[in-house]
Amino acid sequence: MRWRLLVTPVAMAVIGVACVAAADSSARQGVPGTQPLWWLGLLAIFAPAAATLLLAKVSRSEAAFILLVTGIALYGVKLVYAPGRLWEFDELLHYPTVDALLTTHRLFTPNSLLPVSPYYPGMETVTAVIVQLTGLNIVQAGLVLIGIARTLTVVSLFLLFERIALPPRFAASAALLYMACPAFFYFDSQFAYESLAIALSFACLFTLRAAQLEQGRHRRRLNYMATLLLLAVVVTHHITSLILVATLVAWTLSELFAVLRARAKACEGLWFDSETDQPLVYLVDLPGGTWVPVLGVVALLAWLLNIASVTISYLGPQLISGLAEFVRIIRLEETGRTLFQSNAGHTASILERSLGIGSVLIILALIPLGIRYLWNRRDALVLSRFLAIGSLAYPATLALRLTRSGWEIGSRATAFAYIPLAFTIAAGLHVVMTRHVRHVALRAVSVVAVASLVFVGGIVAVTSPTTRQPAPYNPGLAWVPYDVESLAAAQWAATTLGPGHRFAADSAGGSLLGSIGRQEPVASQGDVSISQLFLTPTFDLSDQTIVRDGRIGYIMVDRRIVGAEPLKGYIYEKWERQVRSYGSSVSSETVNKFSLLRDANKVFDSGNVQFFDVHRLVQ
Amino acid sequence: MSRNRVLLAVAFATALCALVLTLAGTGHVWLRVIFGIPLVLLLPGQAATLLCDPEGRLGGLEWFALSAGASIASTILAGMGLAATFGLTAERTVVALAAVTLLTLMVAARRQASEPGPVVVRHAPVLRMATGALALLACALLVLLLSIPRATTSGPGTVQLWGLPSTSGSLRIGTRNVDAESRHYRLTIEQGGRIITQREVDMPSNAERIFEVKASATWTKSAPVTAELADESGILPARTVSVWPAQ
Repeated sequence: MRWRLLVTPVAMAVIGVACVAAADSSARQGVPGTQPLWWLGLLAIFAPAAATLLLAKVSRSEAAFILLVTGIALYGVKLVYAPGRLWEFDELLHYPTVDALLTTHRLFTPNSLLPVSPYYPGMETVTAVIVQLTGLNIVQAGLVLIGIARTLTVVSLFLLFERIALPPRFAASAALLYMACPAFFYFDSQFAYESLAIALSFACLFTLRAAQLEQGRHRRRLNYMATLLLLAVVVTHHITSLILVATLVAWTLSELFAVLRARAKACEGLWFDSETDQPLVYLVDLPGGTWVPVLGVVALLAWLLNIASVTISYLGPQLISGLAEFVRIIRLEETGRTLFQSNAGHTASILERSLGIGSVLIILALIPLGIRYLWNRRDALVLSRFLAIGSLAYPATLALRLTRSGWEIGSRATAFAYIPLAFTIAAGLHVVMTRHVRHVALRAVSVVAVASLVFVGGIVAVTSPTTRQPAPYNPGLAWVPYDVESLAAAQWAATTLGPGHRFAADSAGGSLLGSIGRQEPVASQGDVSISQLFLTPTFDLSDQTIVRDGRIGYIMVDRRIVGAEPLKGYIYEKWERQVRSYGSSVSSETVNKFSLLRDANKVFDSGNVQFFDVHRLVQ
Repeated sequence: MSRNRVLLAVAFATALCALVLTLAGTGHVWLRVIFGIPLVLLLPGQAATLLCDPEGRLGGLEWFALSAGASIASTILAGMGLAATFGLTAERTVVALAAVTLLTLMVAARRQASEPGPVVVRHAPVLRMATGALALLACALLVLLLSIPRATTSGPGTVQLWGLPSTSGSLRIGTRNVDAESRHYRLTIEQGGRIITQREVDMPSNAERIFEVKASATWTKSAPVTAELADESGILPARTVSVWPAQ
């Protein structure tokens, strides 16, 4: 390896992480105007890596090293957001499943925050094992695991692209462009089951491709290895396993179709050689010898129907309502989601909107160029054509993201849609730069600018200025990092009050109580709506009914909610404004109503956070 | 490195990790991290890769990807197997992971004997990359450590006051200082306007005080017991709890 070539991207990556850490530290203290430094840090990580990979003649190991450095540095950006803490909403949802594994030593203990989580315990099992063996806490163990998973994702993707008959530099460009995937930045670096499942599924795809290029026993052994990875994905995450198995089936069918088409063109027998009567389509030559995809389908269905049937009721309604909404948008019956606008109605700046739209337009322009190049190559493989066609999934995910209900699924699907997309736009970029930009300096500038724009646009698409960086605690933001007081209150509930009490709380407080506090937040279980309890000024009969029907034992009140703007669109429940409209923020009259109830035991007070024991109210 | 040596090294490392983890007990976190992480995230996959590739055809990068992927997958399946049968405890997990790894290595050794391949394993590029990546990680960790103190002290600390009825019919009143600074408070406990007790409470950082208010002859269940924790300087707002004695 030529270390001189690598010094710049490595040094810039370190400087980039340091810039982001400094910007985040200041933002956490409430210092305004730190976003330019934050963006500068990100570009310092990505742009030099892009320039080196796309412009310099790097060897295989050099390309892999730069990719690893970039992947680790981008994970560092996630870590410095809230060092040593789980801070994204989904991260707290998985905490109770690990906690239950550590205390009960058994699978499938119910998780009131995310009921589907115990039925996909792959990530939680590894985390629990790390906790048990090392003595690290759940957060530290989770961060180590996801860090390894992130490295595995990058390496596997590079190895997969490399095995589709392209030079290492091209494969590295495609892998780098994958890092521009909106999900790669924050979502798939969080302590959540999808992050691990994505890494394992990429490793599985690479192993299957490597097996396809081998013969005999070497192929068989690699297929066994791929099976191990596939089974791990099936028990780790629902959507990822579904997409992985669907990809394997589609890949197998496309390879089969290509063989049959070639035979038909040559006017020869489709299935048997007319002269020797020997079978022509050898199933072992197809991905995973055909049996791996079949086993994947069987394992997926067996797990889904026998163990994790709750997934159907968890995902089904979201998918169906998303598709139905999309149809209504096409028929002009509905306007859909307003782009670049947060739930609280904040609109992104013109610059951000331009970057976001510009990046999508560039991707959409590069797709046809890439498809054409990959399709017409003399040595075009079925898999490279399969990926070229697969890149068309990206516009489909964009369409799903236009809808309110399908937005989440559309966002999650991008992690997979970006595999073919990154490969295809890397090809498209190659075409543009080699055939259309003759001037060397202009080519260098434009290639880095295009790659960086795609990267920046991806981040703009999934973050808003209010959530991109940490900020002083704001209860109006229903999922942000908790502060010292909220965390201490949750810990008090876990240790002094004892676990397993049914709590009514705001969304952020409920997630803390349900995870670190070891309680059962009532709102997240969907069996009773608690909005009215918190949004009416007096405690009346209907409130009493909610307490009784929800078997609510305790109520958590965060007094900082008074006057806080609900930046995610809600404080307690997504539908709360349909229950009771409250203007721009919740009033002090409603928040303080429990203090006036003589029969409610006020058992905890830390200034802003208060707990009320409401058992006496329904006796 | 010779393949036999790799096999022996992985077997030795597995046995050593299992032994250290068993002897270390619940203390010595760093020791357990050093020996525990490889046992979970590296060695089972190394064994599986040696079994899968007895002839050493895979390069360093492939070796890393398969080792890490197979290790995580093996831990998932072994851990779930344990949780579904005997229960997922630390001792059982160590035994299970070590057993799976050593058994896989035994099969790999047998296979290698029957299929002799090249004498070397191509680890050099991956070792160089790992060194570089570790250096970067060290820098990132340094940055992280520098930003931790500011992160953990973000947001003001607080003082908690709580009151819970105990099973004996009395009440427990507790306070805890969740702040970096020491605090001085006056705790007043009263019932129906009558002061039961009043105390000056010195609260160093992270200190906790618990008082028991015992039911006495004058104890009444017709009014809640109220406790107030007031800052004498009046700068910090008072905390109050109000609890009905158990009926």
